[in-house]
Amino acid sequence: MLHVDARQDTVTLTIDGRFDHRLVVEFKQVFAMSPRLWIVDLTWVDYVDSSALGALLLLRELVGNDPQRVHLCGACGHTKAVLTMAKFDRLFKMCPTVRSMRFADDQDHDRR
Amino acid sequence: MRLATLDSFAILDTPPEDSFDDIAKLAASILSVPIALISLVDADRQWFKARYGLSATQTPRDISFCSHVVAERVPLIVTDASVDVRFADNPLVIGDPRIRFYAGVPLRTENGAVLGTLCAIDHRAREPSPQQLDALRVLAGHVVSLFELRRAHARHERESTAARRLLQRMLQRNQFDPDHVRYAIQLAGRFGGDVVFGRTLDDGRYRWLVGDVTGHTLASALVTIPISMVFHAMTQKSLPLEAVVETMDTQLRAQLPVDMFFAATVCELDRARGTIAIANAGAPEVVVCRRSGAIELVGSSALPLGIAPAIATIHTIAVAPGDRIYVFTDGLLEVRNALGELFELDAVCHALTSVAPAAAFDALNAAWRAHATPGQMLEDDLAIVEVLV
Repeated sequence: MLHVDARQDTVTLTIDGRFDHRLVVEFKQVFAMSPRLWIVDLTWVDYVDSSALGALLLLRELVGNDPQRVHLCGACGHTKAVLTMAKFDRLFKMCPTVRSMRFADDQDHDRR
Repeated sequence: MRLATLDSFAILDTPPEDSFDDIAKLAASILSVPIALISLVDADRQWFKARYGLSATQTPRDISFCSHVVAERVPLIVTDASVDVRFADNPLVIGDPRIRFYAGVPLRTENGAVLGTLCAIDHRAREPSPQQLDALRVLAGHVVSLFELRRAHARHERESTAARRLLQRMLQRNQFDPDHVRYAIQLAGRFGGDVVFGRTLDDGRYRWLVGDVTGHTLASALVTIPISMVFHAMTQKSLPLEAVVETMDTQLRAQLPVDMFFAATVCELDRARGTIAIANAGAPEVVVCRRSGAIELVGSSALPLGIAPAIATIHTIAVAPGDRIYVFTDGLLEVRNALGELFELDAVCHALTSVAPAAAFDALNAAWRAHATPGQMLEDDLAIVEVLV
């Protein structure tokens, strides 16, 4: 299941359950949006396969491969193991939770 | 052209099939007639793919009603054949099956060829309604769609088989010494994205690669061809491990679309020096089972190949005779049991160390098979290689 939350300049994609080739079809449909920041919430993902990793790479390409513009949040268990093995922390900003990321972002915003 | 098109469907003289029988039956029901046929008109006969209410499988073309439809290319409706000058003295009217009413619509293919008809026949004179004739036309369209689907599927099968055979031949260059190397590959689909290559260098060092291309379709399998060529050509020339990995990465980055990549482990065993060099790019841990029973793991140190320019770190460790090295793809760690639990690295290590070394490879294979949910397809291809030092 894919849930899309668009507010201001940020789109948060929350995935529930399996992030596999079937979900990737739906996932790609949001690519038309062009926020400044994409947040992919993986907290509830219990399985990722290589097509999911491929989809994340496509998302990354959309933002010119800028790791600051795609954040992968909340990965745990099997998901985290797969991302670690693939060394995706070198391509994306990894956050422990969506909230911690948002909070840091708000702080930055207040300072300006 | 018409006969050539009919031939391309490879349908003449094939056994009856439910999907076609059902359409004939439905046609008979909609028109309230005792006989409905899917008739294919060949050079000198008409042959019935589906025959509802009729025992004959074919009749000569010259007396068939359906050949009129094929010739005129429009539906033929005969309300009472006994008073129709075209058919009154036709053997099929005077004798069996005593046709009085005939409604036949052409089976017209995409390229305009009329293969035959879907027709409804009665022993009594009838006046069909426009809706009934419409329904017959719709069903005829479905018959042709089914023919076309069957033909496309058969073509696809032939191409797949040819492609698979060619791929097998191209991957024949491997060298696996049966005294030291064992491997197993289990494909999840018809084509493999998982590969295992092996080659002995001139000076006796042994190099092998275990890799996993995204997906397990024909596209994934195709990617393995250039990888095989680089591996074997460069190893044959004794070019260093780093160069092989870097060349593969460069080529894959150039060839693959953004969402495809190749998780791989390339190892080089130097028995003379007592070392093994391991380049693990996005693959599961390499398991080194020491003769003592201890286990060492060498994990991924880089992104899978084909994503971003990066040099996979080569990790070199000392090894001695009696040590065993296991390299496998992540398909092994994705085997699930009925409860959805994954076959984890712990289970792998346990299987490899809880039996005598000579039995370890078989024990690992038995363990994952025992873990897998019976009757369920694997998530992903799976490859395991054992190399004895």
